[in-house]
Amino acid sequence: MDTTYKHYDIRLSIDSRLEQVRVLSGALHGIGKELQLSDDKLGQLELMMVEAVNNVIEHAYELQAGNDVRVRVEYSPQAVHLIISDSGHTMPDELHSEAREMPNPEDLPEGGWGMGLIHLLADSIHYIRDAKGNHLHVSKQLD
Amino acid sequence: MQFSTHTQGEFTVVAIGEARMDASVAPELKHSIAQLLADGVTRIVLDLSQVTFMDSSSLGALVSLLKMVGNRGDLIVAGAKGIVADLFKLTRMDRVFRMTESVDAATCAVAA
Repeated sequence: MDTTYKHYDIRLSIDSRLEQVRVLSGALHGIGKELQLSDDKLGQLELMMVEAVNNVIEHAYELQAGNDVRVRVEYSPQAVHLIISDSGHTMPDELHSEAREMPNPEDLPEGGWGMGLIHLLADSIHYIRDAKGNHLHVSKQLD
Repeated sequence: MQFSTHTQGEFTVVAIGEARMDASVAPELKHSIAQLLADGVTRIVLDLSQVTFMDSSSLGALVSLLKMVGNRGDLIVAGAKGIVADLFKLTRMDRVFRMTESVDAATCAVAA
């Protein structure tokens, strides 16, 4: 039986530990397979999500376990929206500045690519800080 | 982090045995390969053909290892595909690493 999904709204949550990020990836893969996303789109969504969640754990929670990292996956046939939320410290300004430049490869950087990758892969992106914490919205068009 | 090593020609091939290289395993990956370098290995082909996902933390670990190798040897990345290959391209680190489609292509290209 063919199933056509009009809309999906899925909420995932992990503890703020890097070893739990793979669980989010597994859940995203399950969602992606169910919604018949291409391997390319799914890989791009996973990389955006993982980089964003790594930033939350490293910057908002400063690598402290015991905190909640939330990922909301909103699907429509046209786009997937990921909302990555936390209740940690305000993200460093430079992490969410409008102009994101990748580190120069010739400098042999060992980090600093995360937000740049998200900016390259996302069709839209915005960051909100409110009383509940940090919320990063990223969208990927499917058509 | 599961990986195996074997010798192919002048190279030590380090084959990553897991589908995922992320921030939770990057330090261990770096430590393990750094230990090989400390043991005197200088020409390494890193076989990523089994890896289906890699994040920028692991890429950072590989850059650190590339610096350790320096001019004394090689660190060739073989078999990257899909989003793993895209990660190198998006960060433009494909210009820094020597990258080949396969381990054989890495060892043959250097031997030729």
